Amino acid sequence: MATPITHTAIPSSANALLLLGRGVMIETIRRKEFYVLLIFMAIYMTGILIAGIVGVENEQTLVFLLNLGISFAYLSSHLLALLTGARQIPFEIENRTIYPLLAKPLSRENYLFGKWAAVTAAGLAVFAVLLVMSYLPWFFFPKSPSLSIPMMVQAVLVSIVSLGMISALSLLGSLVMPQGVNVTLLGLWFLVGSTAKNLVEARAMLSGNGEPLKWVLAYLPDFGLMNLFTRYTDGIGPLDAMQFLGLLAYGAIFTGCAMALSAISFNKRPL
Amino acid sequence: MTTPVIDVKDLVVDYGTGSKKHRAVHGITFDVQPGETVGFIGANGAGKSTTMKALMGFVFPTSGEVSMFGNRCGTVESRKRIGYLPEVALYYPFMKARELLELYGGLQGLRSAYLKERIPRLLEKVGLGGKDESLLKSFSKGMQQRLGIAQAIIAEPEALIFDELSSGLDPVGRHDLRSVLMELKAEGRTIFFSSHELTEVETLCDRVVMIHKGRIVTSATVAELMKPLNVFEIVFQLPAGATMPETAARFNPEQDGNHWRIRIENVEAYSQAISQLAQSGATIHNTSSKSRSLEEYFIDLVKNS
Repeated sequence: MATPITHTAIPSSANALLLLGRGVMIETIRRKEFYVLLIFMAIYMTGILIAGIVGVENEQTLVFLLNLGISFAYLSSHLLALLTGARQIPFEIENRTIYPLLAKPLSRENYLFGKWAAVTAAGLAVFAVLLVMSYLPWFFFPKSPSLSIPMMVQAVLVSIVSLGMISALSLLGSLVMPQGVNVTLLGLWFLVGSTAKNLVEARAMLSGNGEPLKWVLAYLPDFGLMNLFTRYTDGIGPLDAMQFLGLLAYGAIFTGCAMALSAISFNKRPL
Repeated sequence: MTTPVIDVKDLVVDYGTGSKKHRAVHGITFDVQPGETVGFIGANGAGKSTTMKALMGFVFPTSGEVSMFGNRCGTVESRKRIGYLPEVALYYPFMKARELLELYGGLQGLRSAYLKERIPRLLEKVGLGGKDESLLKSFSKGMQQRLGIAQAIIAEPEALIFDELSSGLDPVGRHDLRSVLMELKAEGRTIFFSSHELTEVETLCDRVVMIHKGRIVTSATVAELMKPLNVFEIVFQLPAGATMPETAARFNPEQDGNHWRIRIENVEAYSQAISQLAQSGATIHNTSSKSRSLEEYFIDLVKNS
């Protein structure tokens, strides 16, 4: 059947993705936390400008400033994705905005996938802006530092997958636990989970019964593995192809599992 | 045979599980045919919103079948030709009216070029003309409800489902809304709505489905429903020593001094009583007919159940 001239020819799932993405973007831009991030970044940039006037004396200082900026971009984009993802569905249910939305020809899976893509895209947009700003000190330094560009590309790509992973986990958490608990647990896990996991594993190995625990902990996502920026600013070269693809697959598997569980939970849920 | 727009068969909806299980809808059956305007009325907690949520696929039937245009409810296919206004809905406070309608219209598959032209006209129609660029956090409850109606009709759907239609609207808003509905009805769209404004139901509906404590108690056209609601009253005086004529005696005459008063719901019985009273030499002081409103009927029904 021909599409009526009033109707778009874009397939409905792609259309839903674009529209929900636009909605989350509008929300991200108009909510306070985005401006808080901008204020922090403005403070950082002011510091860089002062450093530029005073003079960035050596490569170590430049790399330190770069590390600081990138870490801020990485942390804040992930935390923003977490906060945005965690509130999407509870907000829609609490304010009943979900009813007119799901009354349209939009399946629950498309709604969920659209929210995930939108939250990831919002985190990515913040990450991109802040990452570009992080390179500002470069302009004040006479020669380029000896950092590996392929490593940087790998770090950026893995970060994108990591943003997708935290978005999916925050959506899943929002369906199975209260919003505050979800944000606290996932936030703590993102910030210190990798260290905690290593500590627990090390203690268990020392006491001689580490294997089962190690096996269990492997099922928890390790965000520490997904942050390659320290490796980049430390001047280490890129991962080999298998390691790099393995990391991408690691993130994709956790994202896929979280989304599948979210879809199962959301489809069974009366609204 | 025409496929009903809405077809509900033996619908049962339970909330909760185990000891907290509560049955909200007890096996109801009704349908809505194309082009009909059907009012769905009942007291708070009667099961109206649950039934409507089951129609939209927001809650799942414990048993029974619910379909729209022949498609199982809750499927994308079943919602393609429907516009829905929820019972109470707030809209994204961070969005502008235009952006919200672009979102909903887009999800209905409408082109952005078409929406650009349609949205201002639609806002005008629901009494929100010039509010395109206003943030929704500044909208009152009544304005949100008007916006809700706009989002429901944006894609000019064949059928409309409105839950608590005039909720939050002032008298002017209700009047405007009635005009919009009359227009939609004249265009031949199927309308199924719940409302506590029974005069609205009486004015707009072809048929009324009444639900009480999760069960359908009446499903009839407004004319059928209003027929037994007409009450004829005769006030008369009998000559000394005369006996009460048989027809009049059947209607439990009430004595008030020298006068008698009877109330009759059937027009033929009323004519018979008048002629028998005249034959028996009674003096008829007053005759009147009084129509009970749907509201009075509904209140009696709820109080007596």
